[in-house]
Amino acid sequence: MASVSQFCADAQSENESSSESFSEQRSSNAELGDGIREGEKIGFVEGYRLGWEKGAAIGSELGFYKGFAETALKEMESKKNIKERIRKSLRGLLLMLDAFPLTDPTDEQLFNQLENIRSKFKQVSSVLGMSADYGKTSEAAMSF
Amino acid sequence: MVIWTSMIWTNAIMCRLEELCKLEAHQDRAWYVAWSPSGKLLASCGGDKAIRIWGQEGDSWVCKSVLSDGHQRTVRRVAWSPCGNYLASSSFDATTTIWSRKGGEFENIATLEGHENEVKCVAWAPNGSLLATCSRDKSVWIWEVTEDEEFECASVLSAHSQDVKHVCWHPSKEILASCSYDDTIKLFKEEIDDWTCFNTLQSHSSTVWKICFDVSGSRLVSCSDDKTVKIWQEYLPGNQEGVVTTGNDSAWKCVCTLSGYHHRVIYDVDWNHLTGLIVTGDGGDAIHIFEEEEGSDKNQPSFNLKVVVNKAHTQDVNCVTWNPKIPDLLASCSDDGVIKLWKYHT
Repeated sequence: MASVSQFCADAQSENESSSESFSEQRSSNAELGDGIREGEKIGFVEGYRLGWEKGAAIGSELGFYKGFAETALKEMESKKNIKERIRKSLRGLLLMLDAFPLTDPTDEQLFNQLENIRSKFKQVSSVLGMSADYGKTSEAAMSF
Repeated sequence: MVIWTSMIWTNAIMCRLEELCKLEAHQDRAWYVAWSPSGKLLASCGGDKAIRIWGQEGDSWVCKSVLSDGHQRTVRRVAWSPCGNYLASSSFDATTTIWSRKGGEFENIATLEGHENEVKCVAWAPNGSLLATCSRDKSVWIWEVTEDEEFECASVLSAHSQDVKHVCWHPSKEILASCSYDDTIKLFKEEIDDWTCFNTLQSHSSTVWKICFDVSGSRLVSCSDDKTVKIWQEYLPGNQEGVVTTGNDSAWKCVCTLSGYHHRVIYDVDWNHLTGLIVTGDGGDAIHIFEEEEGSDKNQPSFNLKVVVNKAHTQDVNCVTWNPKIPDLLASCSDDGVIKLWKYHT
């Protein structure tokens, strides 16, 4: 964003310094400015969409893990023959999900934490004896 | 130049590696050989999907059993449990198989699944209660062995950014070391709830293929695609040398780099826990043996080349490993499918 406005400023200062008497040049410069503004608008829409899609994908993936872990723990509450490791790994996954910076996309640790959560889910899948693909297929089914 | 040549020549006279026997082990590449803890059996694995167990009969070494139904693809690594009763094998078919030795027969008792693709290495912790595996999927898995011979995943670690080549345990502490195509070595330990990476060792400029602790566990040797071998020294918190540490964790520094000896990628390195000798196997079909200079400073140790066998095999040397009980007995295997046993003479 900064570089684009910098470019606009450069274009304008160039406009002032060069002779303004040639109408061709004046209109060309004006159109350059229009073009940049138009590009900014389109770029913003495109970026917004991409950000929305990425954000939605991460949110839906994390939401899936949270729903899965909470439901699994709930189901196990009354059962006695569940291995401690299973409960522990599910609780660990929930703790990691709660610590995830959902509202701060600029957090430097965001992708590291996402990767750690994915690893934790792999461990959960393993101790539950589920196929590691389970999460993936569900995600695909839920994608927008 | 004359002096240099004669030095090597003198060394060669003083120390040599005698080929004891040659075993046509695998119909494809022979990837790895592992001595049983008693030093009496040798397990090998290869591209022909088979695991072979070798033992001595009289003066010759013979194949005692073949485990051929465990894997669908190349078996990349085999590892004996510290008690010698179990054998773990990891394969390009993404699984790790556990074999139990009962009455001389090996029985497949568990298959560990979870890695997304090729499992490159498997290693038992010294107390036998933990198992580590690593894979091309960039992850390291830690498995806990329960009393009823079950294997539960204790952690999945995604610390590396590339293919993880090798994992090995500290000889006395519950510390795991791994090395990768991302050129780094990482150390892991268990914290309150989960395993975490607490140290990353950077110095190699290309893939780190193998790492090995010395007998004390305060030193680590690594070998790499960058054609060097590096020695790393542990510095405990509050060390006399004034090396900065973080919290209760030690710092590890590269204190020695052996370069100029190898002309191709170095695939394997093994630190002899009885004699302190370091052996390497490389992509130039050669085996090198290094010895630390007597009285050398631990902060900048010197290692001398004692032996080089240039045509140890006809193709890449994939593995070199010292016998854990017989100090001068060495096993090697190669892309040529052959296992060789060597005796080191001083």
